[in-house]
Amino acid sequence: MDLRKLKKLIDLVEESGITELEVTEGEEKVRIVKHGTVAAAPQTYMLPAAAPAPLAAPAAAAPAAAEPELPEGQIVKAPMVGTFYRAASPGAEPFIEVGATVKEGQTLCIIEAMKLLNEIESDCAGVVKAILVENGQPVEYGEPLFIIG
Amino acid sequence: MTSTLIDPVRLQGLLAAARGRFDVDALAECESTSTLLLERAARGAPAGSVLVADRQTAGRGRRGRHWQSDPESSLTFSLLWRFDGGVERLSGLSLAVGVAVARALEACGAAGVALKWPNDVLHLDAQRHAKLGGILVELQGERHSMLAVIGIGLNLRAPAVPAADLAYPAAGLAQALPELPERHDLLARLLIELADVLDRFGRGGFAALRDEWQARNAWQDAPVRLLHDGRVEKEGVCRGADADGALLVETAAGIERCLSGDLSLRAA
Repeated sequence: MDLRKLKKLIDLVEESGITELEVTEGEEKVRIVKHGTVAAAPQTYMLPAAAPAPLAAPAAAAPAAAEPELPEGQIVKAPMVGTFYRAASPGAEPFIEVGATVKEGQTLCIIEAMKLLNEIESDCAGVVKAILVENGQPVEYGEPLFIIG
Repeated sequence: MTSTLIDPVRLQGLLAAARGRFDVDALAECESTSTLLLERAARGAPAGSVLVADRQTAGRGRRGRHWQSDPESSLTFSLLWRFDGGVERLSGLSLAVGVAVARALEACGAAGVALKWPNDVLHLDAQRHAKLGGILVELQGERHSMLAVIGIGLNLRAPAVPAADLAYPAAGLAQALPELPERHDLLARLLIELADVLDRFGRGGFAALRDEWQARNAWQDAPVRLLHDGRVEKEGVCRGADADGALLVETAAGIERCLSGDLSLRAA
């Protein structure tokens, strides 16, 4: 693996909310672990006032300590890198708005990469508490998209 | 006007080794073959289901761009396929489908067929490059697999639309061939190549097809520009596609990987 690629991977981990990344390419294997707390990550997410900065909770904290800070609801994360779209086509109604009630399996958004349009479905039923990404913005793997509670 | 509706029985007879792998349904008209096929998939339609329509009234290009479709001048169809594993294994699928389409057109005798990242099929000749067709893949997660509906639209004849109304200059297959193939022969050839390409993609991902894509890359080593929402995002030299289908553009900063955007040739 060349240095440029390695640098790219390090940047990717740095910029994202993930703490660890392992890449296997043929016989080569690279593991990048981010030290320090997630609170130090440069990325900030727009959260509703009601949710007390849950994503800033240190990943290494004991579950008991972290629990009170978790948002009320499940976080739907991006399963792939791509561009986030809230509607099926420009000008169309968004799939969902904050406050909407969604069923399990309901389409929440589309992530597009290389003309693959991936419909992201809710894996739980509930009310959309927050939409964390703006329409047309790039998203990284694992980036939180929605909070459903 | 002669009927152009595909006869599924006649088509099966032309599928050679791929016979029996496809379940073809032909409609005179529908809104969008991909939308209808997604609905059928939700009701349990099997992999290999194909929907071909003479006329699509709401065919979709990427991000809602309309796709012109009428039976005399185009062939539009959608194919349902399933892949084991998650979405991460499908990177580069739209490029792989382009390889299948290019192979099929070449098998019909077409010359000058090239692929533009990520998913356009072009016709190149000495003077110009124009779009012959496009591919749009829609994905949905299932329990342990991914469902893909692959929409393909090909121009048989150049659309009778003023060039200024098109996002990109359009060509017809008639310009790449001495004589247009009969619709059944063309669709059968496309399905035969799709079966082979999708099998190989399912086993080895885009890496298994990368060399074939690269050999047909319209702008290999040419100066290109990548636009995002009409804004120039990158300029550099096109170095083809990575093993996962990402576009490689060489800029002052080195080789950069790009996952979305509209690629265009930059005047030297």
